[in-house]
Amino acid sequence: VTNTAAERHPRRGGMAASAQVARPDSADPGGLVADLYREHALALVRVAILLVGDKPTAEDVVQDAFIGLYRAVHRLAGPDKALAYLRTSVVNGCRSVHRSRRAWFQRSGNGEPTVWSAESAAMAREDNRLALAAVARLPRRSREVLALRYYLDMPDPEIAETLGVSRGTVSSTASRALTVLARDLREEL
Amino acid sequence: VTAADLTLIEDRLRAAYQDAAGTVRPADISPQPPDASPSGRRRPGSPGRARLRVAAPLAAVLAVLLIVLITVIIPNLTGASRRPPQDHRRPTATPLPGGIPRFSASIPESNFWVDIRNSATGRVTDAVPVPKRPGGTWCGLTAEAGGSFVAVETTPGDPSMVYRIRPSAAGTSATLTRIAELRNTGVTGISVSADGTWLAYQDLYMPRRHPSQLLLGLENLRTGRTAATWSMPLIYNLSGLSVDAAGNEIAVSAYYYLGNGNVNAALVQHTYILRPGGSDTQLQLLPGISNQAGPLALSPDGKTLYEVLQGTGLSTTSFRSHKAVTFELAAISTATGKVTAVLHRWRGSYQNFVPMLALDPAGRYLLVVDRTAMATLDLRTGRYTALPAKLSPAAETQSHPGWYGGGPSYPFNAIAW
Repeated sequence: VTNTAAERHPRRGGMAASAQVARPDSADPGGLVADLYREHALALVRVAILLVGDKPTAEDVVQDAFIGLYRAVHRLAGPDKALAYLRTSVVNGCRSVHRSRRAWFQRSGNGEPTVWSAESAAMAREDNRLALAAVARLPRRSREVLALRYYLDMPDPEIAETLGVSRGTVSSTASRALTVLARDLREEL
Repeated sequence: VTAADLTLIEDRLRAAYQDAAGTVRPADISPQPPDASPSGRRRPGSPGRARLRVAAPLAAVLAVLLIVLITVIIPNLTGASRRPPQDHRRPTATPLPGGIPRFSASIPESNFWVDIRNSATGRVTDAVPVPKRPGGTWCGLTAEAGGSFVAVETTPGDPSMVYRIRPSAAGTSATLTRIAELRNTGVTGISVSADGTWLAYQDLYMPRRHPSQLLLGLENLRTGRTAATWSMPLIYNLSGLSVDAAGNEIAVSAYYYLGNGNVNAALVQHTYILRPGGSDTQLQLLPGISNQAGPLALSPDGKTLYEVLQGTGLSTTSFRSHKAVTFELAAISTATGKVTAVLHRWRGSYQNFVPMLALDPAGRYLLVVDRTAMATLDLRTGRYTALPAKLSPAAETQSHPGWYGGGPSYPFNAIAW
C-alpha cells in the first residue's frame, strides 16, 4: 500500500484544498477534467470505497462522477468549483448505491442490509476491523461526515458544502457519531 | 465519554480509514479519465443548442419509426417471405439425457455478488447482491434440487450464515433467503443433500481461549438442529464432501502433505464415511481406499460412493506434479470399501487436476468437471458425454459442481479458503 504523505494529509498537498485545483483554460473542459482526474481520481476512489465498501463499485461511482463533470463543466461558476462538484457527485453516487442495495433487500424480503466490507488487506488489523464495523452501524450522514473529516481532513465548511447541509449540522453529526463510536468501542479503549 | 476517549477514537478512525482506503492502489486507477460521449460534451455557447435538444430526440424517434416500417409493416403488407424468428435467448447447448443445463452460480472475486449464469450460453443473467459482514467471506456455494443454490458466509468470531439463492425461471430476479445460522466460526466447505434438507460442512473452529479444532458437522436446515459433529486432525485439507439424501452418511476425502507443501511434497489422502448414528465421533477410514485423487459424490441411498482415484497405484504423490498418471472414476461400496466398477479412465497430471463430481438428485447422472471441461456419465448406460459449454478459466481452480432436478448445473466457488 502506497500512501504518500500528501495523500495522508490532504491539507499539505492532497485533494482537500480547493485552492490547489489545477486551473487550465476554461475553454478546454477535457483538459480540466483530465487534470482533475490525474490529481484526484485515486483519492476519490478511496473515499468512495469507504462509503460503499467495495472497489469495483467505488470505481464505478467515481467514473460516473467524472463523466457527469464533462457534461456539467460549463454550468459551473468556475473551474475551482469542479472539485467540489466531483466530491458531491461521488457522495451522491454512493448514496444511490446504498439506495439500490436497500431496495433490493426490501424487495427480496430477506437477508440483511449490506454493510461495510473492506478488502481483506484492510481487515488484517483487528482493531481497524472493529472500528470500521462500528462506523458501518452509524447512519448514512454520519458515515459521510466521518469519512470526509477523518480521511480527507476536510474542514467542516467544505464538508457542509459537499453534503449540502449546514456547518452546524456537520459539527453536531460528527459529535454524535464520535460519542456513539466511543461507547461502541469502549471495551477496546 | 471523555475528551481523551474522543481523541483516541479520532486517531483510530484515521488509522482505519487509511488502511481501508489503502486497498485502492495507484495502479488500480486507469491513467486516463473516462471517455465521455461526444453528445455529452457540448460546445459552450453553441447557437444551435436549444434546437438540438428538440431535434435530436425527434430524429431518433423518426429513425425508429422508419426501421419498424421497413422491417415489420411493409413485409407483412406485401406478404414477403421472411426467415423464422430466432430466439437468441434460447440455450444453444445440446440437451442432456437428464434434462437441459440451466444455470450456474459463482461468487466473483469482489465477493459482493453471486452471478447467475446461463449454463449453455455462459451469459450472466442476474447478479445477486449478497450481504457480507465486515471481515466476512463467502466460503461455500453448492446446488440443490429445484434449481436453487446454497451458500455460506462466514465471519471470524461470529456465527456463519447460510443462504439460499433461488433464481427465477428465466434466471433473472433471484431471491436470497437466510435459512440457517451455524454456531461455528470458520466454515471452509459445504455440501447439501439433493432436497436441501441436510447441510454437511467443514469448520475450522478457532475459539479465543482454547485450541483450534477442525470439525465436520451435519445440520438439518429444516429444523436448524445440528445432527452430529466429528473432529478431524488439524493437518487435513478438504478435497471432497458429500451427504446422502437422508442425512445418514457423509463421505469426506481429505489430504495432508508430508513435508512443507512445496512442489516435491508428497500427498496423503484418505476417504472417510461418517454416520451420525454411530457411537464413535472420530473419523473412520473407509477400508481399502487410500491415496486417491479425492473428488467424490455419494449416491442418494448412501450405498455407493463415486470417487476419482489415482489408477497408477503409487502410495504417495505430489499434488503439483506434472507427471502423467491415470485417473479412474470408480464406484465404491460404502459397506465394504471395495471398488465395484471403474466407470471411466483418463490421463492427466496432478498439476492440472481439478476434477469435481456431482450426482443428480435421482442418482442416475454424474457430472464430471475437469478444469474447464464438463461431461456427464449416465450410470445406467455407461455413456460418457462431453458437454459443449465450458467453465470460465478463471474459476477452474475452485470449481464446485452441483446438480438440480431439471438437469446439471455447475456452480463454482471463486473464493479461496
